[in-house]
This record gives sequence, structure tokens and C-alpha cells, in this order.
Amino acid sequence: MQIHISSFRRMLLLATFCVIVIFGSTSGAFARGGFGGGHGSFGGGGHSFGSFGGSHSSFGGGSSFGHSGSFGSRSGSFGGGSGFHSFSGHSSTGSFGHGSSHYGGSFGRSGSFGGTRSYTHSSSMYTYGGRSYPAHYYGGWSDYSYGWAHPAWYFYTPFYPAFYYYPPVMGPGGYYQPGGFNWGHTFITLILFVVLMVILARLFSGGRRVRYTQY
Amino acid sequence: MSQVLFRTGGDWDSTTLSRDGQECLAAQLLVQIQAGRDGYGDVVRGGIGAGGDIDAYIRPQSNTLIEEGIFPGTIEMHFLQHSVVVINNHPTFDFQFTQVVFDGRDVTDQVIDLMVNIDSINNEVQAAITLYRPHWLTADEVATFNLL
Repeated sequence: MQIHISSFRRMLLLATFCVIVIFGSTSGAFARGGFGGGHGSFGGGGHSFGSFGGSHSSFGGGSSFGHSGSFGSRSGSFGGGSGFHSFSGHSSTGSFGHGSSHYGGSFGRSGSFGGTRSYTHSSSMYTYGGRSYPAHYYGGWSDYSYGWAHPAWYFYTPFYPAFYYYPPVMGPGGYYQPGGFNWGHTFITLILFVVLMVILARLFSGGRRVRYTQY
Repeated sequence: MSQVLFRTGGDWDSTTLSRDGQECLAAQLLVQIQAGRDGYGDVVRGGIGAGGDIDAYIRPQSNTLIEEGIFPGTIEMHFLQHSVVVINNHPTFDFQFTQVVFDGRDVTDQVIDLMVNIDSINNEVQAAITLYRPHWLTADEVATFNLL
């Protein structure tokens, strides 16, 4: 009778875990890394260590219900040869079941679940001083946050402060250094400003100025 | 078309006038142009194109009451340091077809006043040209050049 109760408890515990696993997989909570992390899987994909909820988790493995756990004498298995065909899959260490195809630890999928964040990132290499450095270009409209290699259009207008500075120059070692103040742009701006003021003054002066000379 | 040539060295003795290659004994030579003004009489840019009027004639010594017209034709006036050429070959002497050259430069679009009065009867001599010279940044200039 005790054996029956123990088996019942084991079956109840296993059923509880199955419900949790199925619920989690369907609701997507696991897929976002909340239950085992982004790189984890439930035993599949070759992850062989970790715990329930760890960052590189798998469901099973060496610590919880696997090799040296407290359930049963058999190492690494959980239920042995009983048939749970829905958990079939390739066997791996640290997964739900060891040495058996019934508790493969995955849901018939290979690899991890849960998507990774996608972003546009292209890299290339540039050479400076005989060494190669990675060059990153993240795209975007203005690239304001990523450097002066692709400044926005308003950088070239006299209304923007950066117009009065040279762009950074690459120094030894591949690091950028300030380019310094651009006096040329400053003088050009001053001249254009004066010309603009004269034109506006002539347009809105309210009268035509004429001076009379004699030679 | 008449060709009038006036030349002066600064006194009466060196002043000559010829018409169509022959010396013209004249009592008075008058060439007067007024142009480059708006409806209120204020100077504007445009010169001959802005409209105006012209008087050009020769009073011969034989009869000072007669005014012999110069245009249609050309009159060249050479002074000590300047020269002025006025051309109007239009058959009906249309003012808009007047061309003024001052020191070899076409000032048709700049001329405001041209006054050449060589009056031997009253012993009066006037010669001046006024040009409207627009400037980009500074105020426009109305420059008067004394030809004598």
C-alpha cells in the first residue's frame, strides 16, 4: 500500500510538473526566458547542466531530478521506461530522462525556444596602422549616437553648433580625438550673416538710399 | 545721318566743330539729355530705358535763330580728359534708341543727365554727365562728371 502511495505521489508530482511545463510552453512564459532563461531549454539542445530557473537552465540535469537527485535510485531518469511519448526526443545528459528516449527533455523540437532580439548590425573591418579594427554601422536615420562618420544633414548648417567644429580625427590606436574649432566656417558664417543683414536692411529700410557724388 | 565731331582743348581757340567732315561755324552747340527719372522726378536706375527727352542742335553763326538738328546721326565730343558719344540713328528720332558712350563705355542704362552747352554768343560753356551707378552693398550713387 505504501508502495502504491509512493507511486501515486510520484505520479502526482510528475503530473504537476507536466502541467506546469505544458502551461508554460503554451503561454510563452518560458519562451521569454522567464523560466530557464533565454538560452535554456528543457533538456534539449545539449544543455547538460543548470537548474530550474537558472540562466542556462534546463529542465533536469544534475541537480534537480536527474542523476543524483532524491527521487528514486536510478540515476538520471524519472520514471524509467514508462511511456510518455509526448516527451520523446533525443536523450541527453541533464534532460528530462536519462538514457531513455521517453524523457528526452524536449517537446519534439530541437534547439532552444524563445526568440532572441533581432537588430540590424553590420560589421566590417577597417585597417589602421597595420591593425584591423571592427567598424560598426548600426543604420538609422541620423546615426547621431554612433559617431561622426555619418553626421546628419543639420550638422552642415550654421545653426547647429557642430558646424563650427571639425569632425573628430582618428588618432593613434584607432581612437577618435576632437577635431578642433573651425575658424573657416566661423568667418564664412559671419560674412553670410552680414550680407544677409544688409540685404534685409535694403529690403525693409523703407526707402532707397542714394548718394550724390561729383568727379 | 549726320556725323558731328566736337573737339576742345579748353579754350575757344582750340574748340572746333565739324559736320560730315566739314568745319561748321557755329554760335552754339547744345546737347541735353534728361533720363533715368520716375514720375516724381526722382532718379532711378534704367538710364535711357527709363524714359526721358533729348535736345541736340547747332546754331550756325550765319543765323543764330535757326536750330539745326543733329539727330538722327552721331555726335562725338572730345574734351580734355573725357569723351562722350551720343548715337541715335532712328529715322524718327525715337528717344529709346539713343545710345550714350562715355569714355568708351556704354552708359546708356546709367545716364541721367548730359549737358553740353557751348554758347559763344553768351560766352557760356557747360559740359557734364551724370550717371546712376547702383551698388550692391552700399547706397546707390549718382555721380556727376565734369567734362571741362
